[in-house]
Amino acid sequence: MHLFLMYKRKMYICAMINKQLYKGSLIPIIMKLLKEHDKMYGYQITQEVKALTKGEIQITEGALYPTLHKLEAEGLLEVEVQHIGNRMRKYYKLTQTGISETENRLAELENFLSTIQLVLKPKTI
Amino acid sequence: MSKRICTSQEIEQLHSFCKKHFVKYADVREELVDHLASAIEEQWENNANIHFGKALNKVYREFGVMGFRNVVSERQEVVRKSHFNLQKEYLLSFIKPPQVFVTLLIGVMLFYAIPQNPFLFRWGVGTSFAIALIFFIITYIYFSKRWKKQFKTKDILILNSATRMIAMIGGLPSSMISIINLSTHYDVIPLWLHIFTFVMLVVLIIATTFHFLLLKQAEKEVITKYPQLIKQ
Repeated sequence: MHLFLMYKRKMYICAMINKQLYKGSLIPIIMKLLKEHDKMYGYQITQEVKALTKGEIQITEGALYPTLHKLEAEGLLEVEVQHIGNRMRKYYKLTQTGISETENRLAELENFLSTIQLVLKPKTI
Repeated sequence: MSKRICTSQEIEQLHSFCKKHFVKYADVREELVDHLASAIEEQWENNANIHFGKALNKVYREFGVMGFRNVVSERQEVVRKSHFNLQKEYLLSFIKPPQVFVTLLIGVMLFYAIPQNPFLFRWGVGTSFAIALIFFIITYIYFSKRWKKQFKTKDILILNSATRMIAMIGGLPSSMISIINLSTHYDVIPLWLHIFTFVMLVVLIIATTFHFLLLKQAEKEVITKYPQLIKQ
């Protein structure tokens, strides 16, 4: 029983670390996807990320929509609503500012990853 | 075998589910309903016999312990910001040499036109504020009635956020009373009090006009983005 609880706690800590690791890269991921797809809806983004990362990164809905709404408020995304059968679907697409901002965010992320590499593998760089 | 999709009745159930989980506004619910329906339909792609309620609970769990709360609060913030930016745009379009010149000219004309007598000054201030207040309230009632006729529900975040400007009315009587109180200390109204009153009136007129424009824009936004909320 004790071993099981320890295993459960370890798994929980791993999940938390993963969550914190991808939290900072959520915005560049979303923006990159939108740049490649022209327009996407919320559920499609979660599925696309899941497929691209073979399930390693799973964007939670509770994190996705607040991020999308935040980017919309910043003027980086715009919205298009379409009728899909018996419901409405809200598509997000990058604005002109969003397109240029995507480049900046991706460059920032790449810089960050290179810096992390310097710490993790100092001899190989 | 044809793909199983959510029926209209199930979409209605999703709306009720969101309402039960504190998503009061219809425009916010639309996106969540589509998300839930898409996720449920994906589960049906693997197994079309999964019970609707069971599939729904599975999707809802993915929203985490906060449920829809984060989504709603962030949406409110987005709408609030967009209305703030809209007002900023209105203001910037107003602050241009011709408008500023005309406003100052009216101010100078009013200074000579308004009597220096404190009693008549107070009467003038009271009347101007009352007119602005009435216009503000009439605008609010006009749009409220119009939206009641036009839209299926009154719980639309975009409209709700735009009408919050009505809270500014609370500041009107107190600023009017302050001006009137100040004027009682003088036999002849001093120039600074004239300027102060004029500035207050300009702010009031701008706020009243912006209130009207904002409500009109909010209505337009709902009609364009959420046509399904319009009464047939």
